[in-house]
Amino acid sequence: MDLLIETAKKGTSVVLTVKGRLDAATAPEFEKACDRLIAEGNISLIADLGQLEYISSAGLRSILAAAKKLKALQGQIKFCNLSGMVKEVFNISGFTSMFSSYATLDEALAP
Amino acid sequence: MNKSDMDTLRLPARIESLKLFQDFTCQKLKGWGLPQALEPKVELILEEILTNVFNYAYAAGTEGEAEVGCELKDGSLRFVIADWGAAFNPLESPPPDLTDDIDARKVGGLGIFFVKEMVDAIAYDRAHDQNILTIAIRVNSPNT
Repeated sequence: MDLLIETAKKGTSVVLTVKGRLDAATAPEFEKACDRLIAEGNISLIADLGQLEYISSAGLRSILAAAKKLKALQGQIKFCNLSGMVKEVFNISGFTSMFSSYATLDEALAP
Repeated sequence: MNKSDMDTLRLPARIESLKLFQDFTCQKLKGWGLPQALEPKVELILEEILTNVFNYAYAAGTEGEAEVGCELKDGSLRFVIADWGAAFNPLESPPPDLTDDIDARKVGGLGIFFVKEMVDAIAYDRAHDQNILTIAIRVNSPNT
């Protein structure tokens, strides 16, 4: 298991629980999962990264690609549970200030 | 820097080799008793530099190689990453604009920026028809 993405509908949002590694090899899977959700009409996504162990610039590129598509549809992607090197990479890249990120999933789900 | 006394791994310059390079390096870190939290950082550095080598060092359709060497010396973790492809200094890449919003934000340029942020020293050299990137990360290790 390099990357595992579980999705669950919560109210008007879809939560993606992202586990494992988001790298050059697996990033296309994340983008595909987002594309599929968007095609089904979901434009409010929350990515729970609490079990993501590793992310590279390729992973960030897939997130940014999904975010651009969502924004064009007046939707958005939020993040929660960032920790360790994933949090550090988000900070260094400026993604923390570009996106809404929350300490917990409950906070991300709050209206 | 002399890499002759380093442990090195040389593999075909293609994406399938990335995990092998990362595993090789992480095994070294474990062997030296370094904190596990260092491993994803080192894996990130290798991924960002090596994917550049895999994608751009050699002309499409030609087979080339990449080499990673590492050692723990004088309280620093040192890496030497080499290829035999076209001369290219990744340190000259312009930095990404981190203040752009989602619409304006470009999808490239982040990788080498991460590497520069995460290491204590990095240098490029072109010698013997090789691109040689030397990296140092200070560590607190019981063995140094």
